[in-house]
Amino acid sequence: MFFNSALFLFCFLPLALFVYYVLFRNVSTKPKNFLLLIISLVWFFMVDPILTGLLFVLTTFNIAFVRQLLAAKSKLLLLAGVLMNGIALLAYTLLPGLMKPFGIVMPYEAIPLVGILYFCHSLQLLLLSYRDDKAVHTAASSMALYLLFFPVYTAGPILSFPEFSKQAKDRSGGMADVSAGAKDFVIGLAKVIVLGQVLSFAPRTAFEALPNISARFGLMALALYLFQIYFEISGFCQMAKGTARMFGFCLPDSVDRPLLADTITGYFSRFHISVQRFINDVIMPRRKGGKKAAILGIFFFSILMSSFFGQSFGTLLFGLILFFMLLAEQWVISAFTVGNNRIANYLIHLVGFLPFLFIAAICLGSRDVPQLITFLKLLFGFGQGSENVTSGSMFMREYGPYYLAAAMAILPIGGILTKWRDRIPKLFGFLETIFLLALLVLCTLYLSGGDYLPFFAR
Amino acid sequence: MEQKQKTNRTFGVLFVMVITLVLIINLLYNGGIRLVESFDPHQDAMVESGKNTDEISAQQKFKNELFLNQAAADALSELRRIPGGDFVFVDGINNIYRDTTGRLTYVCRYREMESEAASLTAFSKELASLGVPMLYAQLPFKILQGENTLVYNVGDYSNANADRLIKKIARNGVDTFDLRDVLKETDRQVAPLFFVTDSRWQVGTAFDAYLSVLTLVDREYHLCHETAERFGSDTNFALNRTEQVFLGNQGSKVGVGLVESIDAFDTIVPYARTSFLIETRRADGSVLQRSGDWSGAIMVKPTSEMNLFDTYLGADAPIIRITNQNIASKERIMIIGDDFVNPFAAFFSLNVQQTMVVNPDLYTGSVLELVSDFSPDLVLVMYNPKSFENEEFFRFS
Repeated sequence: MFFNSALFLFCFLPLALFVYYVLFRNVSTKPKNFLLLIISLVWFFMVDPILTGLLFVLTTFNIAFVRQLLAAKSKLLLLAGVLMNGIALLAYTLLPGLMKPFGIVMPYEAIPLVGILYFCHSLQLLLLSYRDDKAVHTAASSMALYLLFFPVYTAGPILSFPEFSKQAKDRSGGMADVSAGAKDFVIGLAKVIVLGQVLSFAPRTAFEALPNISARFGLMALALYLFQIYFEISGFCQMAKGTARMFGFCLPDSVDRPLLADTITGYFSRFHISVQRFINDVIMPRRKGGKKAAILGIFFFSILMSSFFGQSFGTLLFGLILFFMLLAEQWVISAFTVGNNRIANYLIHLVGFLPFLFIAAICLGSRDVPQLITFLKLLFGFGQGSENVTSGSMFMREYGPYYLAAAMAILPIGGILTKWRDRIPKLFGFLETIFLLALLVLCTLYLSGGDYLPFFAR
Repeated sequence: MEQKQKTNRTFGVLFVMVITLVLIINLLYNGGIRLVESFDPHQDAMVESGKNTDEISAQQKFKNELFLNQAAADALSELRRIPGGDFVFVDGINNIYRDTTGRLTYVCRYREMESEAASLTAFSKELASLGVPMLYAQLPFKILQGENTLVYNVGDYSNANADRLIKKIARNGVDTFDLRDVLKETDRQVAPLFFVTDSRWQVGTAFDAYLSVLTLVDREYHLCHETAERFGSDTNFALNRTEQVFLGNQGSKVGVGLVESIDAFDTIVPYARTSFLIETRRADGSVLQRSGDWSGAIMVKPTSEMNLFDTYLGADAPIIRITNQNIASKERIMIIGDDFVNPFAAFFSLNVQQTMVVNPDLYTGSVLELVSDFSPDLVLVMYNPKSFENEEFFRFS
């Protein structure tokens, strides 16, 4: 039950809001936190009952580990805690794939991202308690809520425990938060099921029709695939932010217009802001900032992703290519940098690394090695199928307006909108409300046609 | 800031109202938002049988049924008309296109047809060792041979794949019958061979195919000789056409906004008195029984949610066994086919005492063992080119 499902939006969310704001109207934060914990467990149960059991057990053990670490600073205890989480979550994620060749069907479908995110959260909690961070001296319910806070378990972000526990103790909540959260949620939802879904059509057709597509269509499909990935991840992060805000929690931004970055390092840093923060604040607090930290951060996350998505060779390859691209950028591109000429440097990076970006996209989108090789051969002019090939012109004609909307959506128009808002506040407010309502209606229409699974959930 | 907060609050209130309203309406109308595993009864059967779950597209695997499901599809299709709307994408595997005749159609991906031909050849040889002849009848696809009715340059390999398959298996000694050629020679116009809004052929086309196959079976395999005269001509059947009643499987997915009109539906009923016993074995192993005449047993009473095509013998099932209680001869025929064959099998059951219809996509057991148990006088294998993309149709043991 991802956020982009009718069940979540029209059943789970209204009921959760009703219970939180109506039935628990006049209670303090602590019981509300406990209620949120129950709501989170219900959400997990609706996603996967087995996962719920696993996370519940791990959370109990993690809280016990935290208490022990606060009492005694034992590296062995820390290692035990980290290994317990890592092994349990990896086993949960990888078992279905490992058992398949033996004909054993596990009674669940693993969700690798949940594994990664829980691991990062538990790691943060254990490391902070080992370092005796003041924030960790908090109630078990806050720790449990931090570990099981459901909005972040679709696409992130990785939460900072000190900031989260502050909000867990002291937050307002109310119509203002629900409203702000609703706005983010609807925009995020539209990004995923309108833009993301429409952008996915051409790449999916291209991958399925291989090798009988034109090279031009293949390139077009890859470019659209990169956009699709951006809108899906940023959409889910925005929905997570919106959902959390509806319950009074302000989450940080996780994605900051990566397609406008002028370096590959910048691209991935903007894509995984919370990952960088996690590396800087938790993993390497003494080496904050800098390119090395950025690269190490990407490497750490690539290894993590590759481990948890281990059944998907494409993700493994994607992680490796990313890492080497970043290294190459540090060592090679710096020799070609043209002073402070931002546009020239941007073009140099684009020309130098766009092919690698496309290759990485092919890795991520390919079902298996033969399909990956077929696509690569097509792009380099070999191995095209018969003459009766599928071209991309139909997609441009059918979905051109959507592609235009997607291109405009990544532009930094926030500043322009703010100016308009200041000049004509009432009219702008009215138009904004109508626009958001129209988006909600459009999303409802799309949702009632069926759930759309994002690229990382296929 | 104040205006911004006011705007946010207004939208916040509207948001909560909308999601709560939808919840209440669903509770009243549907008894809740039901998580149904598929919108398509065929997919239902596939999921129930535990087969091919990897091949069910991710998008079709789960559909939350909101009360405005069909209305939403229709509204969306109207929206899609704005930029162009000559095709509606369902998913990357089964895109739906609207061609120049206004029909909705899939396209077929290129396939070498080596493994499929090998599988059919091996099956034919196994049957030969059991003393059972096999005939492969190639069903037509919506994009007919020699047609170029797609609006865009889209690669469709349906007929090329079928040509390749027939050539390969004929070379290996398998009996083949290309219904594409036969049906094109009829007096019908090209377009009415298939529904506009459904992926399958018209009932009338299935009937024409039945007449052709019956003639061949009588001539080449010396079966159904006694009944061929009685049931081998359309003069012995009543055709009842109802206009503007059928929104097929493709039309339901894309919405009526993208089709010129919805289809008429034919009911073809033999004049002769009939008596049948139908046993439908479902995916969970249970057996549904119906008995009666043509209208009572062969034809299933349509419901509002039913695809009308399924009124012939009901929705897809792994095995349907038809006993014609008015036939004295002990002839038996097994028809192995996809979702096209139900009307065809219904007509054919007039000519033999026992007809067994097997859908390998839904049947998890060994088709070869079924043949051993059933001991048919002839096995008919019939697939339309879209079914070539499903490996299950070529798994016989």
